[in-house]
Amino acid sequence: MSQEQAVQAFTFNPKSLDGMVSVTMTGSLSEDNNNKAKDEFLKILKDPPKKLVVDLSRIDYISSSGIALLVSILCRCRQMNCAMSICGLRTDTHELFRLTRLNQVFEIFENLAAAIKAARQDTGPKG
Amino acid sequence: MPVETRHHLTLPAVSGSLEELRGFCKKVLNIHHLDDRIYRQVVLALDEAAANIVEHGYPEGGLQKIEVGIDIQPDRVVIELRDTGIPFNPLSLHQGPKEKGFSKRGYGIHLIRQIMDEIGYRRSDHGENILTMTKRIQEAVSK
Repeated sequence: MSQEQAVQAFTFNPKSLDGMVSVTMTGSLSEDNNNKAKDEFLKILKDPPKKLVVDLSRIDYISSSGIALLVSILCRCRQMNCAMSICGLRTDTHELFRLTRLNQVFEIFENLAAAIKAARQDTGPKG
Repeated sequence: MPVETRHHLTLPAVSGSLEELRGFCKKVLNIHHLDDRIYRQVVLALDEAAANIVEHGYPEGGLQKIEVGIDIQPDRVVIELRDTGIPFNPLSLHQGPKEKGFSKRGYGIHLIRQIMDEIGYRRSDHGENILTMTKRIQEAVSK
């Protein structure tokens, strides 16, 4: 989130590829948009992919409720044997994951390409 | 003309107000050209505190208000939130990351404690919850 940036509208863009689904969101992931995001994630998990990659590179603001949403989706994924990872964390988003120690819980990749590559190989570094 | 250092906003105590609240906070902080990291942390702390008031102070909803004050001093940013909801001291919550595993909620107060330097709560004689959060500007780099 830059002081000069305008607030982006929330969007949720899933893409299916080789048994995995990547999701790129824009805007803020907070109290305002959590229900929309949750509904979209649950649609994906009705027919759970083997891998779910959530790209946060275009999220300009995330609050604790946004983090809690990602945790609840992670729990749902684990129940369904779907491996979930996140990627593209901006500096401030990464700091939130560090402060909540959730950087030790989520599999985190630098960007979407790295996350997809690891998902295809079914292996990859945590970071 | 000197720059105004105290800014106030009154909002409905509903989650739909949080985006407007963040916008107000950003606008105020932009006027004072604060460091980008302090900027992000203060916006987050205010958002988290207000979200707690909406959730815990007014669980029944209704036409309630939150009053927000932001005071930019040379060495600190002081935020005050007032509401007339049920007595609720957010500092009484001891939520946060677990040593093992993780929880699905309760990160807001933990984040506020982590990023702000001072937090105080009192219940006024007029039945207001008053939450004060201070961010020291010089120390922001190290937190």
